[in-house]
Amino acid sequence: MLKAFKQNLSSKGHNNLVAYRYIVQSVNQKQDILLLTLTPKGRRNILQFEPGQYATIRFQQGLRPTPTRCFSLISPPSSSVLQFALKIEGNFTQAAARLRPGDSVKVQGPFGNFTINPEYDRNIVMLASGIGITPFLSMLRDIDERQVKPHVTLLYSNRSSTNIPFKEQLQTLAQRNPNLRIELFSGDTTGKITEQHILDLVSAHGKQTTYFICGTASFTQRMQTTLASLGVYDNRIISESFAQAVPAAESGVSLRMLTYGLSAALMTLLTAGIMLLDLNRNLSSSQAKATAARAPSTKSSNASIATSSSTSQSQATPSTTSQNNSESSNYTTYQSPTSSVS
Amino acid sequence: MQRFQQNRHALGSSVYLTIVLEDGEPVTPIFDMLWRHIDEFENRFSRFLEDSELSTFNAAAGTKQNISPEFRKLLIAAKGMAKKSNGLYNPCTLPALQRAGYKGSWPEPHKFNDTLVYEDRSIVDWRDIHIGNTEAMIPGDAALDFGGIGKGYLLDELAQVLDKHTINSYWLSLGGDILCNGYDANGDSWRVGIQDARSENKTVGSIKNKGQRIAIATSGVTKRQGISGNGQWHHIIDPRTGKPAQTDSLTTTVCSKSATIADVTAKCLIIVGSAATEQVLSPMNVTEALLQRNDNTTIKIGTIWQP
Repeated sequence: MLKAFKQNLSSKGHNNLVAYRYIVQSVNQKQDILLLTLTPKGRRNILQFEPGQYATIRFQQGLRPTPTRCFSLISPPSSSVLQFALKIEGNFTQAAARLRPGDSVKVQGPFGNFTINPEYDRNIVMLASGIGITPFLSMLRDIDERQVKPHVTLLYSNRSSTNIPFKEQLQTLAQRNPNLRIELFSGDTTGKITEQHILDLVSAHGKQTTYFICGTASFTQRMQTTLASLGVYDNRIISESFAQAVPAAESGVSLRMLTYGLSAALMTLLTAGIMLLDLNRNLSSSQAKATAARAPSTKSSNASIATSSSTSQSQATPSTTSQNNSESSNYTTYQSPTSSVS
Repeated sequence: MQRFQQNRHALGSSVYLTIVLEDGEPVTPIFDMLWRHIDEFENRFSRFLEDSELSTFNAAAGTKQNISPEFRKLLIAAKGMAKKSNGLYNPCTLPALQRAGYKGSWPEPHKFNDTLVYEDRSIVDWRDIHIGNTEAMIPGDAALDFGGIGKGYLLDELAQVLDKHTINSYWLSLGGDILCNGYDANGDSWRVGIQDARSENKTVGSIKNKGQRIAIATSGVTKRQGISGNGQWHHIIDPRTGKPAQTDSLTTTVCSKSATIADVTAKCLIIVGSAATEQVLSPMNVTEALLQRNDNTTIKIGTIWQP
């Protein structure tokens, strides 16, 4: 039982540092979306995950390994293959587009808690924008295989009505599942998902519904704020945004250039530091008896300490708050059990 | 082993969750799971939330309504407790409680939503609650409230969740109702203090769990009370009179393996007073109770109470 629970936790994104070896089965590109299908290299070493979770992938590009990147899994856990959908927009995804069947890919994960809890999430609203549809694909495919299907409403927003990733697959899923309702939004036709749409949703579904949001950081933030303003409880809003920082390699600066740059900057700083120390020593010895001259120096030093102290305090505050809110193993504030009038 | 604790305001009171895990065991998912369970329970069963399942159910009293499996389970438990306590616990005392003055969510009982007030309804016999496989019905002039059983019931549910995941050492407190199991990180038993009815900083006794699962619930007239047009009120309604219980007990504490039983029994003991404890304890199969009376005396029933 304990083992099962640990496995469950591991699948939720903890202690999952094992790299799984997969082989590329197929690489399909439609417009700017790349569909990467992988099969496990062995029978035992298979990634277990829950719909909505993500994993990292990396592979060999020429003689060097690529950096690691995170992508949502779009296949259901029951599938014998792993499928990822990648939006082609940088060096990594362009390299992925050049993968061929039989190439090796290392997969690590799963990560994330963007998952449905069947016990509670019986009425679900999914809010997706663009490539943010990917975790929902895995969820919807998984639901499609279940006997008891929760009620799901998907609002899916894209910039253009001519480029809606996975539109056909979603329509097929909706045809098969009477509990699934899909509304498509496009910037060039119906317009974006507005506050009014969300208001209508909340009015129709009530607060007993779980709202999953996935898309760009601004989309996620906008949806969260709107739902919260309508009185939806925090625990009913589950979100994931694609806010991964653009890595140096994809922003046009190679790792080698970055290393050279950093080394040069470090050398310059070191040289400047030595020069300043030397200057300070010479000045101190020549002005050793000029005590009046020390006052501004001391004052300046104090001001510097005060600033640094205030900075460290303001940085410490959220860290303390976070500790209290999360895994408080904080024995100094431990509350011992006392039964009182409830 | 390491002890972890989180606390939050929920269910109108302070909630503390304390678990002991092996070193390196992930903690956050366990707390997340428990908090989600608690939030879900509150969303579904709060009488103060307009769109809770309970409020929807009360709004349509008199008609057969579809209910969720969770609602059905709690309703069955509530009816079972009503039967076991010979009606001293009745989940239909809400109209009387609201007439007494407890209309809005604590600590602001005077701020309330009109649509959730059923003062014009009455306390009906618990036997008039009909529970089907997927639907339930109460008489049109009745209104349900799970306040007398909810925290105890939820504690048992949370313990089941932890047991299911083989987490054996923990103590959980929902506003002072406590359920503990196993041992502290250093191997000691959990020692649960019983708060003095007259001083929050003092205790009048304690219990050690000795590694066993025990639940301790305290009820009383010292909290959730106030003054309304009808005079002084408190939140424990005697279903026999429809009024706040006239009692010589300030607080009653009950220890049982089941938090649901402990919670309900503690309330029933308040209702009957210290002279008739056996009338409550015997049918509930409870042997451990502690009463703090308004004459400053403490009665300890059973053998587990320590100074």
